[in-house]
Amino acid sequence: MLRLVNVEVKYNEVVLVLRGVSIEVPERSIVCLLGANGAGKTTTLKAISGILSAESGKVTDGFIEFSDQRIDRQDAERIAKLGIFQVMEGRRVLEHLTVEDNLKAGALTRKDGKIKEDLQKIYDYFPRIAQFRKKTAGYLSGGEQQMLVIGRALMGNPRVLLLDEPSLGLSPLLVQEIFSILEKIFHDSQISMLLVEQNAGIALQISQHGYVLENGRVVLEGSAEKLKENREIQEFYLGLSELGQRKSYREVKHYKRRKRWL
Amino acid sequence: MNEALNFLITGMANGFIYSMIAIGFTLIIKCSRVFNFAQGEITILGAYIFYAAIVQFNLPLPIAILMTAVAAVFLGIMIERMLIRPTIGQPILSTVILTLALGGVLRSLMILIWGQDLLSLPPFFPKGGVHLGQVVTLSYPHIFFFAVSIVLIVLLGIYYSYTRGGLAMRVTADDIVVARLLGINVTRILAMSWAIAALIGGAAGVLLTSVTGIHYGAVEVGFKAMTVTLVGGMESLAGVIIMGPVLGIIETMVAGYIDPLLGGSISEVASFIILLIFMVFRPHGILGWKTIERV
Repeated sequence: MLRLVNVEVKYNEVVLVLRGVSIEVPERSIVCLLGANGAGKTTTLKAISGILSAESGKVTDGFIEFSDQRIDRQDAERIAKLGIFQVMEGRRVLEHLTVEDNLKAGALTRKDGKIKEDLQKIYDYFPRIAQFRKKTAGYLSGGEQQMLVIGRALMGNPRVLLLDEPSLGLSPLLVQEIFSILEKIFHDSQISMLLVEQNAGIALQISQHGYVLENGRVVLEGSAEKLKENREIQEFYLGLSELGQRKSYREVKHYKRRKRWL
Repeated sequence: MNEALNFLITGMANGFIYSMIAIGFTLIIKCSRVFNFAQGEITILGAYIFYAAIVQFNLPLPIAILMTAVAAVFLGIMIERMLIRPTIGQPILSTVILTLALGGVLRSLMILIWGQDLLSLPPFFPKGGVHLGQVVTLSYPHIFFFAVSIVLIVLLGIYYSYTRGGLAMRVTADDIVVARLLGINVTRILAMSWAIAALIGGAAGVLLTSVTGIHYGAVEVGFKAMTVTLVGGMESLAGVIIMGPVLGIIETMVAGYIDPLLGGSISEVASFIILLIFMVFRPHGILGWKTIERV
């Protein structure tokens, strides 16, 4: 459904960030995108949602397709209307608006009258934020804000949800909670998700397929099961040693053992 | 005592005019962080257009009002399209300087077309007013000021707080990138803010000059409104709506009680003295956005 073919992205016409990334998100699936800092994960999402131009970035080669329609030259507004919603990194709630207004803002592109019911649905998924309907969103806790921005994107009735590190800066318990809700949403509805994560363990738990990005290139891809079995992934992203046990940092000399993919 | 009450009413009536102009500042600041220094000129240009419609073209009052409204909206949209939109992405300061230049151009345009003389609108209101009790007189123009400005402010408030269009404006004000990701056409929001600012500013200009007469020098009312905006809080509509009448009252009170003692027009600078005090001790104004810090 969503397809990136050999996408190359440059910032300021010089800085090459993506060097030919090809990714596919099929209908009704969760695909995760793993990689270290600076690998180009967020840039990939921004290229899809069309907000690169605000940072003088540009798709300079390859193309992005959504339901057989090219979207890499379109405005962010138009792409959102097609049903691609990005949840940005770092919990970008609309600080000065109430929780309910935040959610309603997600539904601004919609013309159908089912917004009330969908609001209730979001509150059912995230009971934590239901109690704060009238509260100013900027004062919610980090976990609640993350739930709010996910809920806001869901209010737009997305066909694809782009999630940028929903686990960032949250306690392990909250991460578990948010991911189990994401899984529930996925099972209840028809939406696909493209999930960018550093927390590979939990990302591979809920996704069917995964890509590993390094230095602007896809260096590894496969089904989530296969990736979980992969030794490199186990060692560098899941922190397991060869025997499948937790690694002792005493035995590792990081500086020598840094993995080179290419 | 009755003197004081009359000052109060005059001050409040003037103050609502300041509020209307200040709303224009606030709307534009909220969606683009641009301080529009041409707001005073747009206000008075609205008055001149109304004068042209009713005196020079001799149109009946309702049509003249409609024409002025259409012209003001058109003016706002054209400024946004031709001058502001091309500067998106450049530093905010260059856009701000641009509005300063635009103000100069509009001012000389007004002098070019309508000359430097004081023009006066035909009197719409009968002399006198409604007597409240023994001492307070509410003159007809003042009643009209209150009615028009309050109706416009309330309508705008309802639009801003309760409709989808208003929500889109508030979202854009809060985070422009998120607004685009949610499918909001932010350039249209920007155009709409300019249109509303010009419309409500033009209306304020007509009200103001219906009493004082029209003169290009009246653009300095823009600076008074600027004070209201800054003291009320740049991002807060409620702040500027409250601050307008407060400042208007302070001004007439100072004019009534302090000016005769000192023999000067302290009232003219009273608002700027208040502005200075606020800028030093409470720079975000009475209701402006503080950065939200979670504890």
